[in-house]
Amino acid sequence: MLVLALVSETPRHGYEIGKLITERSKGTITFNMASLYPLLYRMERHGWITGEWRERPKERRRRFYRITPEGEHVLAGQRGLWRGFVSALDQVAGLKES
Amino acid sequence: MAWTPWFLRARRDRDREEELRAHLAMHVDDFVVRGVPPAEAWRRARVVCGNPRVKREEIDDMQRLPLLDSLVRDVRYAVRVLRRTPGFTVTTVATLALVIGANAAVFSLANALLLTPLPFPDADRLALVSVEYTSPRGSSSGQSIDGATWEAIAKGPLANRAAVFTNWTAGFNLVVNQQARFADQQRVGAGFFRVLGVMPVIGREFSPEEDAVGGPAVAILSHALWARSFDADPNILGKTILLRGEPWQVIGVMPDGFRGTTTADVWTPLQPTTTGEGGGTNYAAIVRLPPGQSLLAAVAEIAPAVVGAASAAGVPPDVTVSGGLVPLQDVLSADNREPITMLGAAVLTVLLIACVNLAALLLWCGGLSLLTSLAFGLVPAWQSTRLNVQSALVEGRSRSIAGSARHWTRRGLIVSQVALGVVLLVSAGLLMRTFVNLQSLEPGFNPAGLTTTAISLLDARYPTPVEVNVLFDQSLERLRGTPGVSAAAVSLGLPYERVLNMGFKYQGEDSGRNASVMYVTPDFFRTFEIPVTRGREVLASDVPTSRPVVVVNESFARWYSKDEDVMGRVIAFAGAERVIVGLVNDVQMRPGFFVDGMVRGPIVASPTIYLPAAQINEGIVGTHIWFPPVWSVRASSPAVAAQALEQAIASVDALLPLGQIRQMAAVRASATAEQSMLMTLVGALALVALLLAAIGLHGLISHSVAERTREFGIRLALGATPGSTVRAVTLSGMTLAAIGVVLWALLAIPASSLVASVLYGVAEHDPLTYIGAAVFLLVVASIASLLPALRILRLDPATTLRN
Repeated sequence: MLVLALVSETPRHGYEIGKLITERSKGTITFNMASLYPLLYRMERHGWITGEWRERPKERRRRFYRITPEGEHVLAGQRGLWRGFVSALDQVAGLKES
Repeated sequence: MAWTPWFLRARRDRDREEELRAHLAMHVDDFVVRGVPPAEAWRRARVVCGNPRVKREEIDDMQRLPLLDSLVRDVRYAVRVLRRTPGFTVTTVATLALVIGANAAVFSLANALLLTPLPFPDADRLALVSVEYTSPRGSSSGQSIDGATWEAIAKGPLANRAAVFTNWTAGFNLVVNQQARFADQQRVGAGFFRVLGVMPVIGREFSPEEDAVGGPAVAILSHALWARSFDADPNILGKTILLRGEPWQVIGVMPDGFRGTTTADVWTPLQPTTTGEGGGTNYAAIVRLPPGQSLLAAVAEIAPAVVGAASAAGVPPDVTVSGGLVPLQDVLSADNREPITMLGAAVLTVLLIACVNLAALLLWCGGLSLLTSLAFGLVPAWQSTRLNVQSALVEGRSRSIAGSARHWTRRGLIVSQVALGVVLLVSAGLLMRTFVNLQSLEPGFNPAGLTTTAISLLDARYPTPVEVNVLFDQSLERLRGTPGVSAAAVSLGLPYERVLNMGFKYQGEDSGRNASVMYVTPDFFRTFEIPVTRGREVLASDVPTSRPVVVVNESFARWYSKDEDVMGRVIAFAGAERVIVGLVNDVQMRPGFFVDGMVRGPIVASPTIYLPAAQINEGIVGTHIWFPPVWSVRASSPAVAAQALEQAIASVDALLPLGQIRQMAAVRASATAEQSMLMTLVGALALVALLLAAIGLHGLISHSVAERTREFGIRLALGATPGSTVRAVTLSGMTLAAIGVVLWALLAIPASSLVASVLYGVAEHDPLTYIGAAVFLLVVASIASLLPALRILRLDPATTLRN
């Protein structure tokens, strides 16, 4: 869900995705290379994202991932699921008060 | 996961590596932006990310299906290994090919005959009513019932789930558009198709009114007959067909490919009775078990009707009647069950032998690699020490007799292989002797040059002996006038086939006996060249108005007139007192019954009554339902005979179609076809077994010769003669074979009881076959042991010791 959410905003390359997750979670969630890329490849195989090489003058060649319509659908489903999960946790354990 | 082809995979791998390098580079850039010197930035990035190449491999491993990849690696490795050991590979592949081939062939046969479910919905719920008679003399059971039994079933609790039918078809002449063709008719009761679960595609099945005596003449056609003879006429319902010269109205057509309990072209209502045909056990009843009801529960419901009807008919006091149900599949495959079980056992044995062979081969290969590593590892160490002759010999001797544990395993395998091989050889031997015995049975006539054809007289134009005899006389007259035809006759039934059997009584005796019965026209014995040993044959002067006579065969005299001269005795038979005027040689036929003391077999010399065709009564004409008369011609060539038969019949009755024209030799071959097939198949399997056992022994001996080359060299150098060495090695192989032969004695007894039921003229524990098979296997075993042992003769002691 995290990866899908990030690439749904704009196409991003792997390094950026890993960095953004670490930044936005304030270092709570980190992905190392060996777990981030298998995840990306698997999502690509499922057809949720597609990757393409982009080259700009004076910049290195990078592979950008964008979300597909199917990925959007999966993302919406996962957002709903997590929302429900978090609110359930909240009701049981009073997360918001703590 | 989809398996990516190699060329795409290579590109993908490059892409991934580049992507990971880019990732690392971006990390470095970040550090550099934060003021870290480039070299240090690289170091830190490597610490965080690791080596891109190693990471890529890790990622790849996570992505792949590890199982599939390791499988591919293993297969590649196996192929490489197999290519390095061609001898092993060829032996293994040949062994497997032989066994898989034999297995597949027998399984497909068994599958087609025994296992394929019948083409009816829920066919496992269909069963036939069976009746069993038990007396102190033994028991017999069958699926034939009489009219009274059916009547009782039809009044019982399973009435609406049961139907009566005749489980045989009668050939008849169907006339469509002035053209006669031969077709098969089966008579079935109302509800028969409903019980089977297959209804006509056009029209309907028989109603109870149509299935009652005196009901209308209605018929249901097979899809094939409808398509072939009526051009698939969609308006067939209500049309009439001429069946045996009488009009029958078509009320239905069965679906394409439908086959009931037997193959038929036309079905007509059975119209069961309790007298006449229904007075005897000429019917069968099929039952569809109610859902959820077990066979046993259904038997409990059906048995009272069966037992009640039989008791009412009267059975001797020491005979007990019981009723039961037998699954339809079992009944229809009963004839094939034994041979298939036997073949299955044979194939299983060969499979076992092959497994043993492969296990032995693998042990040997394992041994080879062990030896290789030992040789490479120990030779330098060996060379540094002085060769200890005594220990080498001791080691060698211990191996020649006992050997290591590994060798014992291998020898055990060889022994069991030999034992299994003899089991099969004995079975094959017994079957072969059976076949030879059957082949050497004296036919009792001269089959060469005899051509025959059966013609169905189930026709409204041939209802009485008069019309039948006119046909015989006129057609035979034509045949005898045909150039190239030396003799011609008509008979009810043929040698080597199943013929009618009927009861008779000697004049003045109360108890009846059973005999095979054939009516014959004059010249029958001359046509078949059956020697008349006493009295006379059937003559043209035996006519309806002259004294009724019969001719009997030697078996009749032997079994039924031991103490009294059979000639001149009078028998009450087929509605008349008939005097025995001739005695003829026995011919072989398929038995319809056995007299106590007769040798049981697929063909026998049965006590037979021949009566003149001119003196038959209407009762005998009535048996044309089961047995058609057969025209036989002795002619210069089969072609002449066939043409003569066709022309002669056509000239007398153009609407009478001929059955299959067969040479008597073919009739004879088909009588022993099952034995011949079994002998061939089991014989082939036994040969495979023998071959495998020989391969195993050969492998063992040649391996041990190779292994013990050094020992033999030393022995020869010390003065042992090559001959004695070869003998010792060969004997060790033969000892194994001999142990196997002894072991087999334990296995052979249950195995030969499996073939016992198809044996003829040879005891199931026939010592000659047993000894023959054992000797044969020992000879093969000694050759298999001797061939590799002969290599010792070529050994040069000096070279061997130097090496």
